[in-house]
Amino acid sequence: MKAPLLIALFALLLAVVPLFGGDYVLAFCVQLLVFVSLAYSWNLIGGYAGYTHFGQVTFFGLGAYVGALLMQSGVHWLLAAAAAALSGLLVALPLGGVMLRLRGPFFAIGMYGMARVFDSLALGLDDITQGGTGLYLTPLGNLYGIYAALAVIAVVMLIATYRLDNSRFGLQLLAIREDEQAAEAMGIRTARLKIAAFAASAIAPGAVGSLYATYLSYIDPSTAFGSMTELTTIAMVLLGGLGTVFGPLIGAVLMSVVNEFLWSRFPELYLGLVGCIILAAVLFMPRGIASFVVKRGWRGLPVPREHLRRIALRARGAVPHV
Amino acid sequence: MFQSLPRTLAALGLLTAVLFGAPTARAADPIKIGIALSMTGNLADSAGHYRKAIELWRDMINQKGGLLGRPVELVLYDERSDPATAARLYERLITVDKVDLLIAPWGSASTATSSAVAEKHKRLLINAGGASEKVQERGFRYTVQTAAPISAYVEGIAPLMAKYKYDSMVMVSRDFNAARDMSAALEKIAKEKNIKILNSEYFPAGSTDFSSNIAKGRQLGPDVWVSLAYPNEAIELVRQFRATNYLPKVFISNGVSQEDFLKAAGKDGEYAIGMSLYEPVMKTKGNAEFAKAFVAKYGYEPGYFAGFGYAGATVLAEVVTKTGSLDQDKLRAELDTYETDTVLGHHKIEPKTGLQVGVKGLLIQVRNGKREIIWPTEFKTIDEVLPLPAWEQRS
Amino acid sequence: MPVWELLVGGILLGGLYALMACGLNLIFGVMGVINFAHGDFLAVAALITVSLVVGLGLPFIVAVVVVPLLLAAFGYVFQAVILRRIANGPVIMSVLATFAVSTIIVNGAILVWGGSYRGLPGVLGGSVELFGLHLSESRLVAFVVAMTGSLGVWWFLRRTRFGRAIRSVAQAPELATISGISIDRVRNVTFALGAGMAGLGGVLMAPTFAADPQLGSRFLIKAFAVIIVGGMGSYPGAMAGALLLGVLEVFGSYWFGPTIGSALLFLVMLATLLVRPQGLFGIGLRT
Repeated sequence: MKAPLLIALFALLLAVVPLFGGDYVLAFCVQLLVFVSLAYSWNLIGGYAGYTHFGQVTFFGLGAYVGALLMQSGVHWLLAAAAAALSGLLVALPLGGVMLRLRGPFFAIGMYGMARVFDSLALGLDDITQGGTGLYLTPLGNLYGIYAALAVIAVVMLIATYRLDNSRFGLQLLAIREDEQAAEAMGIRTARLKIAAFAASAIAPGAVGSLYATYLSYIDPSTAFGSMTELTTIAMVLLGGLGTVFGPLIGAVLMSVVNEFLWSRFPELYLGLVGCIILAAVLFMPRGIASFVVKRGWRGLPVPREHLRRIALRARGAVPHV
Repeated sequence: MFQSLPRTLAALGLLTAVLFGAPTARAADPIKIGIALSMTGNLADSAGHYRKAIELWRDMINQKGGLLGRPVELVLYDERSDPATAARLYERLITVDKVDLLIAPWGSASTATSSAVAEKHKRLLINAGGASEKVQERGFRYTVQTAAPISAYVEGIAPLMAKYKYDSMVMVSRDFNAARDMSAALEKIAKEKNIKILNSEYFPAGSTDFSSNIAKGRQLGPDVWVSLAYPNEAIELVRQFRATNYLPKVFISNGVSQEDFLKAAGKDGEYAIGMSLYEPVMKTKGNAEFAKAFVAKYGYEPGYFAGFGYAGATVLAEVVTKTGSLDQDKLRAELDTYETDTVLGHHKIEPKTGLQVGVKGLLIQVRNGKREIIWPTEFKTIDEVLPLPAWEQRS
Repeated sequence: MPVWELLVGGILLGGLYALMACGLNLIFGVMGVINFAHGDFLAVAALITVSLVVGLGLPFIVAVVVVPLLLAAFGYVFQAVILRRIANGPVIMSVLATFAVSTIIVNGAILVWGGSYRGLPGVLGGSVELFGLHLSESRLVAFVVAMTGSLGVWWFLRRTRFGRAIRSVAQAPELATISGISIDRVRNVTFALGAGMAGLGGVLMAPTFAADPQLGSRFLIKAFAVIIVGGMGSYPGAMAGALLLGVLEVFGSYWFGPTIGSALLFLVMLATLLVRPQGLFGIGLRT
């Protein structure tokens, strides 16, 4: 199946869910879409540029607080989300410039430390954030608006990743992932590209954080900067397939569904069961479901960088009929 | 490629049915009460006591023939100490499981998010486990508090200090919403009673070391040390007091009033004073029966976390019985003026906000490994020993 | 300002941090595995200790011997069955695997011990007076064990044949294989050693902290911070780093309040990463 068709199908599915699903299905989808957007964002820097890290929740939490504070002073929730997205970008630019000098586990753990610093700020700057009391917002009457906004962000992130996968920028990022020194030597301006990818990966989390606060009509530091949000997102991307177009979507949907199923049926065991599933995936599908499926020759999923492969094949004079 | 599409859609449909499908109705047709509370995450411990009490209540009421002649069934979910999960699970309880009645989760943060969901669906939510006043002050009509209000936690402190002519205190509390409300209430009392607050600090959840707070306490020398905290922090505080040979004249914490504290702090916990809202020895309505059944079933004495759960369920059952209905608006209207007595003491709400005003606070002191009530006088089981005896004078 | 009391408090807190980091320094510092389950190793060790001492009435010293052995056995199996299979994959896979194991351990511990807080009343609970300052007995013991333990491992890695094998596997696995070292065996034993030290750490923390199944996450990042500040794989560095972080946290909390005080730990970690990635003392094994 071709990628654009799959994306259209996903968008269509998102459009019809509110027509048939009840409030719970909608609430479930809100949570799912939050994770889809977070997973695609993390995939940009972690999957394509190879800079895996544990600090995305920094931008999610920042967005939640920026959005919540704006909404408290009367700004419309959509506008607040846009401002929160901008705040993510503006903070990520200098932060990326500093932090991306680190590599491997140092960057990963360094970003975790950064998230904790922001968490402490949310607690410590209690004149602005009310500290542990949290910020209370007026709830919206229904979930449709938030759902629509999140659906748009998720689809945009999916399309952006698809475009990236077939673009020069995407290939440059992959070159950085495979061998940063070699990429530098080939004339790729690695520092600038890494920062761009990092900043791009902070925009959606900012907006999503603000929408999350709107959805809950309440935010406190432990919800905004939760470690579980971070780790769940990463597990989703790795499970689905790091650095692939559909991996984050597959991972997010699968894990959300499995989670929801397990914790309503086996509340006392589900944490361990989720652990077992992740462990099994790590051992038997270490490159993620998307790669596993593609390698097994199942045609339902598009091959990564299909367009580029076709160009390469055409150059060799062998154009297959697709 | 389109051949596989119908199959994929069918599979998706099946999956959706399995996940979101309502369980089929049973012949007995029980009354379903929905609750999502932490079974994992940082509130799992305290929520566990709350859950046990509610489960016990279910067993007890079913033994007596149920509610409105129907058996009571609990629909319990784990919200993982996550306010977002709590909100989603209340959507599920209301729209998928179609429960008849709702009891709120444990803790103010999850109560904040789930009360918004209940309000949206115009469903009564018994706030049995959230102390924070902010939740009630949002003006949600359908959220009614049976848990003790903030003022009840701190009201015993000033009388105790006046009795011993103590006039200074420090507050070292975990940073969460109920603690901030309690500090504010205490600051107000201190101002009225001319009590000096020498220092007021919050530590983040997860703190395990109190060296700097103790050094500061030693330097400032307050009469009273108040910590609005959970049992683990109260345990670590008294142990670190002992290990560094520090002792204020009085140590007061709500974390003291739980079984965990008695067991884990051991002798170091002796004479510590706990803010409490419920004790098994209280001669309140139905308490003897509840405490006895609780000990028989779980093997330890219930503390106020458990008392909250039982009292919330009791009030709910009483208004259901009185109105003879499960109609949410009727129940809510009845609750406006409904007054009763529960294991916590008197139940009464302020009609406009649903804020609890009936339940009063207690102070307890740990003596020989047991909680004994020292205030107010009508419930008193022992005379307090103050100031705290120095470490070296204890056997 | 009570400078001496704060300083001593900070140093003893640093001792606890060194204890948390001791085992992880082998697993993360030397082997390069980001072990998300390390905190849970500590928590489970503390809980087993409570069960042995309070539940079964055994003397504390029995726990000191038995629990590290149990944890070491667990670590050996964990490495041999799970981590070995993904040792050659990207680092992030070991993160995912250890994260999964961490959730399984936490869930298992909740099933076994319930969610409640447990302590060891009466074990090393007292204080020792020294120059008019009162020091916690349990922390003093933890401090001494952490320091001697660190020096012991340091000596082991530097001076013994097996220690050199561990370092060679960590730094140049291919060369180690050529020299006839069984990589798998060395990794299994190293991981077991690291887990065993985490076990010892957990045992010695049981008298200080109220233990519960979710205690681990509170210690995990502190252990990582200690290792990064001290330099990957460097035991003397970790000791010094732990003391520095402990002292800074206590003084920071005193001056700016506990929230900022505990954030200082992360700020120092970030500053070290950016300014001196080889660790404060620049004697790491892996840089």
